[in-house]
Amino acid sequence: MEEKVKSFIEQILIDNGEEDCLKNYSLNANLKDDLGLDSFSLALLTVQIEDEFDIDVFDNGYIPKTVGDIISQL
Amino acid sequence: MLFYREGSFTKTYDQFIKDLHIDPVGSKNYIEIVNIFKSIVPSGLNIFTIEDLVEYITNYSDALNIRFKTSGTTGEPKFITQIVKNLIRHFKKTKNDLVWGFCYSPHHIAGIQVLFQIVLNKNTLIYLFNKDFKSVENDIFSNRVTNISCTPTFMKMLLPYLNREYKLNKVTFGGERLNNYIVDSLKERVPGIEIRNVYASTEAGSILASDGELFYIPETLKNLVKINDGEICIHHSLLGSFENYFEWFKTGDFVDYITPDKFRIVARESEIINTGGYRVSLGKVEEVLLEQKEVKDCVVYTRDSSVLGKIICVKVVTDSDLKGIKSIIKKLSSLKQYEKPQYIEIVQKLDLTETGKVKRV
Repeated sequence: MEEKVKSFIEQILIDNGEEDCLKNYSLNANLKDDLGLDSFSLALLTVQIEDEFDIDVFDNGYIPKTVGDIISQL
Repeated sequence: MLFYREGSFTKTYDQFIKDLHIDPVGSKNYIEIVNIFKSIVPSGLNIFTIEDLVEYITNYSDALNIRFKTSGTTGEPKFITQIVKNLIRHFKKTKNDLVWGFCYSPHHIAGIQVLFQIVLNKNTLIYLFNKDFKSVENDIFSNRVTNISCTPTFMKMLLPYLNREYKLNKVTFGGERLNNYIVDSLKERVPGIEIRNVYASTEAGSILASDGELFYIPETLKNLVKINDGEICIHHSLLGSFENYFEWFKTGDFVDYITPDKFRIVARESEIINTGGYRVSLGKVEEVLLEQKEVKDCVVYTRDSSVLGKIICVKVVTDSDLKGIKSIIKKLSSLKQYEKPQYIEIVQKLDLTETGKVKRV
C-alpha cells in the first residue's frame, strides 16, 4: 500500500521536475514543505489514490500533512 | 392538397422514403425516418406524395409538435417537445437536385432540422449516421453527395478519409463549437467548399448562422436575441413549448466579442468550472491542446476533488506516450498553471453521445 502511494508521489515529483524532493521521502515527510507538493499536485495524488483504493483521503475535512497521515487513512 | 383515406399509411410512406433515396424499405434507418413523420402527422390523415407532406408541414407548422431527446453532452439526455414552426424557422428553399449526407441522429434536434430541410426541398437523403468513416467517405463519393450537415466532431473523424474529388459543395456545422483548424483542414481537402456554422439551442432551434467561427445577430433577430453579461439570451417567443417563466431565456452559452458586432462562442456554462478558486473554460483548454500536433484528439473534463473542488482531467488520442504528452502540457505557455490538466489519460478513441458529439464526462 505504502509502495503504491510512494510510486504516485514519485511520478508527480518527476512530472513536476522536482526529483530532488524525492530524497526527503519518508513516512514523516511533510507533503508540502518536504516534498514540495502544491494543492494541484495534492489534488492529483488524491484522485490517483481514490482510483486505486476507493478512498478519498481528504474526505470529511481531514487534511493529511504527512505521507504517514495518508497511509493511516487507507 | 391533402387526402384522407384509411389503410394506406405505410404504403404511402414506403413510396415517400423511396423518393428520398434512403436505405431499403424495412431497414432500421428507414423505420426511424418513417416514424418521425408518422409522429407529427395525425392518425387518419394520409399523405400520398412528398408534395402532400411538404404542403402539410408548411401550412400547419405552428400546430405540429415533435418530441425529441437532448444530446446529453454533459449528462443524461432528456426529452423535450418543440413546435415544428420553430424547427423550420431557418428553412431555405434550394434546388431539388441536392444530395444530402445525413450525419445526425434523426431523434435529436439537429437531425430533425436537417431532415425537414431535406424533405421540404424534396432533396435526396443518404444516411451516413452511425456508419464507419471509411464507408461514409465511400458513400459521399459514390452517391455524389453535395451537402453535408454535421458536428465538428463528425468532420474531424471523417477528414483523414477525404482524399478524392467530391461533388461536395457545402458543409454546415452545428451542435458544438467550431474550431478554425477543422475549417482550414476541410478547405484544404475539399477546395472551394462553402462552410456554414449554425448556432442552435435545444430549446429554440437554429438561432444564428455564420461562415466561420464568428457570429453576429442579424437585424431580424435584434429584438429576440441579445448578449447579456457575455451570455446569449433568447426571447421567450422563440422557445415554443419549452417551459420558461421569464421574458429572456439564458442559454448558458458564453461569447467573446472579437469585433464590435462579431463574437465567437467560447463556452457553455457547464464547461466553465472552478478549480482552487480559479475559473477555467474547459473548451479553451481543449482548443489549446488540439493545436499541438501530437494531440490527434482530446476531451477535457473534471472530477470532483476534496482539495480543489474540481480537478481538470484530459483524455488524449495520440501516437505519443503518456510521458511525452505530460511534457507537452507542462511546457504550454498559452495555459496558466491552474488551467493545465492534472490527470492525463491516453485513450484509443473518445466516447461520443448519441448525437455524435464528444462526451465530456
